[in-house]
Amino acid sequence: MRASAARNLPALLLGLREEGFSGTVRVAGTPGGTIHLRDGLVGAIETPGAPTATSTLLTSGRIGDEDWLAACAAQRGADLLGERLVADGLVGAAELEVVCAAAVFDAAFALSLGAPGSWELGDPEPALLARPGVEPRQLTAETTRRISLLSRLWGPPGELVRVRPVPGMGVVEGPLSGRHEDILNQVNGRRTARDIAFALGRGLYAVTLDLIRMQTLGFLRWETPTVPGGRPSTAPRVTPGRTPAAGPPPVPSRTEPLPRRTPRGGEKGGK
Amino acid sequence: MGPLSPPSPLSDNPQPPRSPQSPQSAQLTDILISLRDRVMGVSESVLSTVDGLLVVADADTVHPESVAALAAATLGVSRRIAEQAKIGALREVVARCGSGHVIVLAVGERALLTVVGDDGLDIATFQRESPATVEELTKVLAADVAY
Repeated sequence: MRASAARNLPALLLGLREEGFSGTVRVAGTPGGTIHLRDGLVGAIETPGAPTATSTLLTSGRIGDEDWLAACAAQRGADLLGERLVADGLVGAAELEVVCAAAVFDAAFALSLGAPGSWELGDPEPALLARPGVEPRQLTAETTRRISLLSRLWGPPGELVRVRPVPGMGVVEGPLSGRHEDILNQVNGRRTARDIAFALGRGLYAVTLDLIRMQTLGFLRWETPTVPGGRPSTAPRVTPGRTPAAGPPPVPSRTEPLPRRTPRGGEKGGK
Repeated sequence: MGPLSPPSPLSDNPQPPRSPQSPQSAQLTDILISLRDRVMGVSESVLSTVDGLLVVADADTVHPESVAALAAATLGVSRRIAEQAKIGALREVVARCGSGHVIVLAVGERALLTVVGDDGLDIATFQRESPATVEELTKVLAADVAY
């Protein structure tokens, strides 16, 4: 079997395309993932690094949870779940195709950011598949293009997806596009580009590009990744009913003592 | 040390009361933050006592006190159902939800860890990393018994 002798993942996928392999490729590593192949074409990739088509459709609210569960119940063979969603009128055929193919490209990009790990071939498993699937050659070419674009715009993409942006100090001038506003609402110094992509149900690559653009516009800053010990401690007890963080987290003062209760203090604020 | 003794900002006090900013709390919070850094998809976590009180939290959107209380109930009920099913001791409780996961696991005999993750939570890595986190937390919490 030629594919088993492949040196890397792109070569493996090309070999499997020639063989017309249908099944799964489990990739170890961080992030690892599962690549679903049908006749050698890439139908879906599941990885913790990027949202799947399912995740995109559900998180964005494009398809309601109940409708989704009903479709899953009606269509036992998950390979045909896409057809069922279209037949139920939950999503257009073209839209589904775009979402599924985009998710495949996005997941391939996410996989390429991690250290390459070993892989294992397995039997076909049900998944929400792109039809007919993406040519491995095309997938590799697009992933390479994305990596080189990000490297040119920012630097090593592997580091870019690990930074946790914080809102910028400057005043945002002019109206913010809805897309940028959604992202800015998620930016709080805790979330990486990947976390924001999952929270919004958008692609990792698209979010990464938006973050770079917003950083040049001054909407956000990159928090330099720090070792946990050197980071200001997040307040262990969050005050109930606080507003979602709109600015950078307050830096705890090292000189001021903690608020103290006075024996007769009954009023808020202590004074 | 009376209640009106002067404030000691940098805790030169030999036995300060357990305040949220105590070094031990910071140490615990750091362990939680480190878990979030190591496992893709972990977004928040809460450490609580088995009777439902909050110890520390690395929280963002959840209400730590409520999570702490519910974690105790969740683990208690899950242990009982595991007992009923006779399929061995409970390892952890994983709640799979529409767009994420909540995992509750025991930290030693007296504490609980609740982890909130998104839809893409890397459960395999979590299960590989969580024993080390639980052990670190247990070590720090062991100091409590001395008081």
